[in-house]
Amino acid sequence: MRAIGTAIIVLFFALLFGVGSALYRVETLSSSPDFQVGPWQGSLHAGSQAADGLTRAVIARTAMLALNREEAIYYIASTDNDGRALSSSCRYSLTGGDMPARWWSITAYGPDYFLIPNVENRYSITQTDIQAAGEGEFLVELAADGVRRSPDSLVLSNGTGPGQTFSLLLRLYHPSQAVLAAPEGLAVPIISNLGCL
Amino acid sequence: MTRFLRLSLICVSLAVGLHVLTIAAMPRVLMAIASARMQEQGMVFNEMVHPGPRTAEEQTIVRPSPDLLYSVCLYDVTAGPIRISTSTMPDTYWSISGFAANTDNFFVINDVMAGSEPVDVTIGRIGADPGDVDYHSPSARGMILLRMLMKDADALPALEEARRMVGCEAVN
Repeated sequence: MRAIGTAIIVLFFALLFGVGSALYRVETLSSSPDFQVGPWQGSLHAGSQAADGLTRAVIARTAMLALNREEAIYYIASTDNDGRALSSSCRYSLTGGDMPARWWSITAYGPDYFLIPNVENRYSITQTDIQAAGEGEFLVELAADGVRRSPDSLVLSNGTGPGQTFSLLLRLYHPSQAVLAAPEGLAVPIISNLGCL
Repeated sequence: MTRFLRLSLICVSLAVGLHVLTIAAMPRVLMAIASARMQEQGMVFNEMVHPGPRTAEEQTIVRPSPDLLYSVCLYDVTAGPIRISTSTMPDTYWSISGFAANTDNFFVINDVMAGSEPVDVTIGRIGADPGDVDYHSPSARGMILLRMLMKDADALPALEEARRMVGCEAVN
């Protein structure tokens, strides 16, 4: 009887630490990114049959059904350019220019990796939006209330409640050969904190 | 060696094994959960379905793109190959991609590769359908995903019409 009790206790702690640490590792994206440029980072093995187990698990949890890099390359930012976690309590500006791909988009996601509800059902800024605005450079405001402060900006909602983390996903479809060869060389958008509540 | 130390070593060894197993199993488990959710919504195997644009109210898979129209086919090649076919596709970015049960992206066909030609390809299981199919799935079941870029709302009717002509069905 005592031996069974001991076995149950050992199994309990093994499950707790073994499964718990695995889930924590995947949830905190602790697979080393293949490339990083400013706060934007990504994997060259998303969707790849050559991906290691941890990369597969992280991609399955955070970006399931990602395409391989020749089709699309993904950059994820969870912090601003000063390294502070992106928060729905803060306002941000996102500045940059057109990027060398057939088409690109930047989408905001909540802490559950799903689209953030907002009144205008506007979830992303795309190359099409930037080209329609007629400017080579773009300014995007990220604000929880979705209210535009600058006349020439586009605006995205970054949360539905105070203190929620969020992330930005930059997708480049059919990236240029230069980006494929050196994704860390891309001139990525700059994420600046404009103030917090 | 004390009994406590021996038990601790067993516990640590088990925990390391479970850690590795959990990470290895996670893609298949998450894919199975997504597939089960889709089946709960009425999807059946080897049939293409065409949900509306992704919004905060309509999303099943993490980090969906709100700028793409997705059509999905849960495939099962246990009984034999399946065929993916299209009519002439609209002039926009589109891709048809296959994802195995462990989430590996094992093939992609896009508008550049297809040119102006309709797609007509077969998919079978590795080992089970040697040579007679265009692509081999590493697993018996998985997902086929059609992505179509919606640059503006005006293009939506043409995209809708084209994607409803995309077939995913058993060959026999």
